[in-house]
This record gives sequence, C-alpha cells and structure tokens, in this order.
Amino acid sequence: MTGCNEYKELMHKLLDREISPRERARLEQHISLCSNCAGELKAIESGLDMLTAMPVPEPGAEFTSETIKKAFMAKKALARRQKTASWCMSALIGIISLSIIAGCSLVFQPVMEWALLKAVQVLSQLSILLTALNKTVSVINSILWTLGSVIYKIVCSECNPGLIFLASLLVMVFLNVISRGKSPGILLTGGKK
Amino acid sequence: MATQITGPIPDLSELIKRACAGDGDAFGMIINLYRQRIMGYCYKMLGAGAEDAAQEIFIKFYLALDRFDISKPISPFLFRIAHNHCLDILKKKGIRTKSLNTDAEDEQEIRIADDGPNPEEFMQKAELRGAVNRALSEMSALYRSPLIMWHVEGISYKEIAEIMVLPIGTVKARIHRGRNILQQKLMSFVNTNGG
Repeated sequence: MTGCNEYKELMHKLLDREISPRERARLEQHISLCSNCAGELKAIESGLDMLTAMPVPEPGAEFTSETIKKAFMAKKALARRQKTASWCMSALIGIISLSIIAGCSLVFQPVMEWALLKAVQVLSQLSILLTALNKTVSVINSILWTLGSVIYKIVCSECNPGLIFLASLLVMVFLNVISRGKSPGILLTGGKK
Repeated sequence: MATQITGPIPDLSELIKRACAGDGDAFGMIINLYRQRIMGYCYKMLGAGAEDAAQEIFIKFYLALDRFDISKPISPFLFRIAHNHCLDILKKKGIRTKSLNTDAEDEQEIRIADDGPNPEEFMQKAELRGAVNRALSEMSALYRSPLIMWHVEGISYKEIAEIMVLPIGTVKARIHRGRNILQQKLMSFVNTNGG
C-alpha cells in the first residue's frame, strides 16, 4: 500500500493523457497485482465515463429564437442605461461645479464685499477729481478767450507792432505760468540755461 | 427540437461580425453551434435551471461580443462567461450545487435514453449515475467546473487556465482533486458491485 502513491500519480497522468508507454506498462503491471489501485482506477474511469455520457435535457424548441429576442432587448436596454448614466454623470458634474462655486462664494463673500466697496470709493474720488479738473479747464478756457478777444481788438484797432509784441509776450508768459507753474524766464529762454 | 444549421457553416468570424451588426440569423447560428455544449456544462454544474442559465449566458455573450477578439477561438470566451455565470448562480443560491436529475421528469428522460436490455445492468447504471450525481453535488464548484471542462467538453488545460484565469498548475491540481473526490465517492459503489 505504501508504494501505491506513486501509481496514483501515474493514474492521473493516464487520465491527463500524458503517460509514457513505459509508465503505462508499469501501471498496468501494478494494477494486475493491486486490487485496491485497480478498484480506484475503475471507480475514477467509470465515474468519468458516466459524467461524459450523462444525458443532457434538450433545450426547448424556442430556445434560439427566444435567446435572440432577449439578447437584442438586453442590448437596447444596455444602450439606454449607458445613455442615462451619461446624462446623470453630466448632471452630477454640473451640480458639483455649482456647489464648488457656491461654496467659494460663501467663503470669499466678505473679501468680495470689501473689494467692491473699495472699488466704489476709488471710482467716486476719481469722479470728484475729474469734475474739479473740468471746472479748472473751463475757467482757463474763459480767461484765454477773454484775453484773446482783448488782443484781437487791440491788434485790429491800433495795428501797433509794439503793442502786438507786448501782447504776445504777455500771452506766452501767462501760458508758461499756467502750464509749468514756474518763473516766466524759463519760457523766454526755452527752458535752457 | 430547436432549429439546427443546415448546409455549410459560415466562417465563425464572419458570423460574429454579422451578429455584432445586429444580424439575428448570424447570432442564431452561433447559438445553435454551441448551445448543446453550454447546456451540458450548465446542467452538470447546476442541475435544474440549466436552460435558463444557458440562455442568460448567450445573452451575456451577445452583450460582450463588441469586446471579443475575432482572431481568437470563441469557445474559451464563451466558457469563461458560462463558468462565471454558473459560479454566480451557485453563490446566489448559497449552496455548492443542486443535485442533478432530482425531479421525475429528468429521471424519465434518462430512462428513455438508456438502452440496456439487462435489468441488472440498468439498475447498476442508475445506481452509478446516482452516485456520480451525489459526488458532483458534494464537490466544490471550483473542482467540478474544470473537471467537466476537461473530461466532458475536451477543453485543453491551457484554455481552462485562460477561462478560470489561473495558472495551468493550479488547474491541473484542481482537476486531480476533483477526480480524487469522485473516486472516493464511487469506491463503495465499485466495491459493492464487484469492480
């Protein structure tokens, strides 16, 4: 019995169709002498033969046509499910994005309010400055207009070159004062020393 | 009796392409080519409910056809679906398997199929069938499945390894274990009937 284990391996080799002719001869010789191993091999072989020959019920007459019908329906259902899943995924991504934006808004609301307030303040100050500048420009404009009228009258009525020169000089000095806020000499010398 | 293929069988890859494109006839031909084998496998794995299981396997196969590489043989792909489906069913039932031929209808079918004129021989065969059924019922599906694939379906070890996603050595070990279980269960029958 102790040497039978070796032959059990050979039995498996026989059933696996991997046994060599020499191993087969050894197994057959052993089986002719060992009733236990012969019984074991007989049991396996008869069991496997019965398993192979076991009758299988024939599928119903409508098996193929029903299977085709169900398979086609399953494919359509699968396509529908995939489409729905795709829509659901898009909706989910949208909801998540909106949630992130809303969350960020809540978190950064104080900062955004402060920034808006500052922006309004800066804009209103800028507006005041522009109004003031506009008024200044209007005043300068009226002064220049008046001066120009006076000069024109003088030039037209008198036609005195000395007066024209004097008036031109006055205008240049005046413009220089307004534009640079410095001494009239700079304009006369062209700003060079 | 369901419709069988008449005339020359078209090229399988061509049938698959046509079936993928929604050709019911092509898919029907594929079913007819493999239904007996799948039905047999399901019956030996599950017993009752084999027809429903076979139908579900073909439906799963059809849904997976887009992913199938037509340069490869179809049977490992189909048996992989069948193997996984049968294991799922057994898992759902929470039992190893249901005993085969449990109802009277199946028993009647087997009696009709047998043609032993000798009553004693008939009885012996019936007893052996019962013993094999019991042995299969008590065997884990992990051993039963490769045992059926190798001995009944004639699928090679390499293909079984692909189907079960296991190394060939493990597949061999499982088949050997399955055979040992079968042998142990049938020893009493062989001893009683004088080998």
